[in-house]
Amino acid sequence: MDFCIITKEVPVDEISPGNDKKDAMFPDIYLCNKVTDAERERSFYPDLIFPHPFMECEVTDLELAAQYKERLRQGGSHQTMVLVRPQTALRQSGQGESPNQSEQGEAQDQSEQKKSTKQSSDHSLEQAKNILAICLKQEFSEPRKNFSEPDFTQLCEEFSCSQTMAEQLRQYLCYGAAADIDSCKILEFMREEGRLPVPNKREGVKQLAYFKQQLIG
Amino acid sequence: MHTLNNSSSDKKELFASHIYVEEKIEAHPLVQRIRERFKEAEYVNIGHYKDIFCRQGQNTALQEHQKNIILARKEGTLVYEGAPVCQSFGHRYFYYTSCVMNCVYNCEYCYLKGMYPSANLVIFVNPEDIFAQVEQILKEHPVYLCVSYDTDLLAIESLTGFVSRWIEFTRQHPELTIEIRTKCANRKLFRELPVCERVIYAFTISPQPVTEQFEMRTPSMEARISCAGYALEQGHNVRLCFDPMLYFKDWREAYGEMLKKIREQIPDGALTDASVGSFRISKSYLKSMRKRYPDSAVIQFPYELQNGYYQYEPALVEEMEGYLTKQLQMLYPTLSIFRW
Repeated sequence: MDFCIITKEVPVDEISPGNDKKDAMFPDIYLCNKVTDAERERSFYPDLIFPHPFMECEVTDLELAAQYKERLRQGGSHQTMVLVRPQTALRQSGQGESPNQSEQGEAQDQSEQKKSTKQSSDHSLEQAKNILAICLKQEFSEPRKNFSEPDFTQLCEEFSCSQTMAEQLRQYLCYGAAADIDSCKILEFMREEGRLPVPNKREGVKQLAYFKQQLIG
Repeated sequence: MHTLNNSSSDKKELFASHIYVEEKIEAHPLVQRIRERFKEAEYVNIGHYKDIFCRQGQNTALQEHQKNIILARKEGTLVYEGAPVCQSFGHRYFYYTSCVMNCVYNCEYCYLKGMYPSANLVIFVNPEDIFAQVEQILKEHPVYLCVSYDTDLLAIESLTGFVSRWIEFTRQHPELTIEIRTKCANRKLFRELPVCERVIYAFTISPQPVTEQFEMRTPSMEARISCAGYALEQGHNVRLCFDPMLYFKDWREAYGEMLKKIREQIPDGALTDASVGSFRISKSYLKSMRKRYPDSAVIQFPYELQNGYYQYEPALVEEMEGYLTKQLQMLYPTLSIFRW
């Protein structure tokens, strides 16, 4: 399963924090349970249906909402997540000005501090993103793979399938996979018995019914 | 023939990490009650329940492991005519209503998985509006109303109190009969709920292999049978529903064993009636379920399409329903048995 995690630093007034979480891994990074586009009065709700170590919040941010909406087209609400960090945290973590420095020196120092603080906050957001990705991967497994298409096409030929028969055959194979029945073994047995491949469609209908009966018992 | 030895849905008990509430009902007493019950949950304001419930691309299979609660106000038409695949038990004016959408249980074969785009629980805080619509219909004719089809109201009675309210409403309206379908086995409820002769508790009973394999989070077969017997002792009306019957290896033995257990605890003449029905579901619902649950043997089973509904092939339907009906008749000679 593919996941998309959007990260952004946003003004603090765009964030409405949820419950306080004493054991939250990051004190200033939030996982969004609601992303709002205030202009269009439209909200999106990521499905936070897995355990995670983040505090949650609602965020109202036009750009984020647009990004989320766009990414949602590629994956569902359980696959598209948003992590935010308030911009005040960026400013607060860059504090420590000396009153004796010259203005130029001050400006240079502040610029350096902001650069290194931004780098460390990017690092934190990146860390948070990696941890969230681990949470998602741990919780959600890949769906079972079905019968491969080249084999299915060959099988349809063996049964001399019409379109309706092909749909039925596909459903039988889906059922076999879901019920952990070895469909390949049954088909191999049918080939050994001379039931497959069939000479005509009429015989194909008969053998398809036989295949179904072998599956369901 | 498949056997019931596959592992199916996860049995995790995570529940209501999030509560979504329509802004217009924030101050409603039931909202406050539910918030109090789920203090740790994140509380999210929404405009309309469909903003959450009807989102595109939801993964209901994942949501089943973590059902959240949506609190809303129900609007529009609130009472519906009964569906043809449902049993009316001989009542001419058969209706159903839903003050809760979705169920705390997770039965793999349930039509709710195909009907709704989400597995989250929607609780409508305004059953009084449903009562008002029922009163309008009662002005025309008597009503037989199923109030727990799309959910299990008894299973969440401690959270909502809706069953008590329905009983009270039914007592006030002599032309109304209601059915409360359930898999719940909470004996305390039947000790505390007032008895009303026009309230029928319909227990869905399945053989234990079916309960274990396909009915996640539900009480055992024994617990349900025991609870049904207890409800009868307390004076309540009880119906037994053997619906849906599922086909699996040794189904005859399993259903036969189930009936013996029932007969050990519930005497002839005690039950209101019973219903028997093999699995059936609308084409559109099953199509949706098959897409969402590729790993479910009961959903992927190759049913036959007849008149817009998927079911077992007619010969098998007759064999299964015929067998159960016959066994029931032998054990309960005076029982009215309805086949769908």
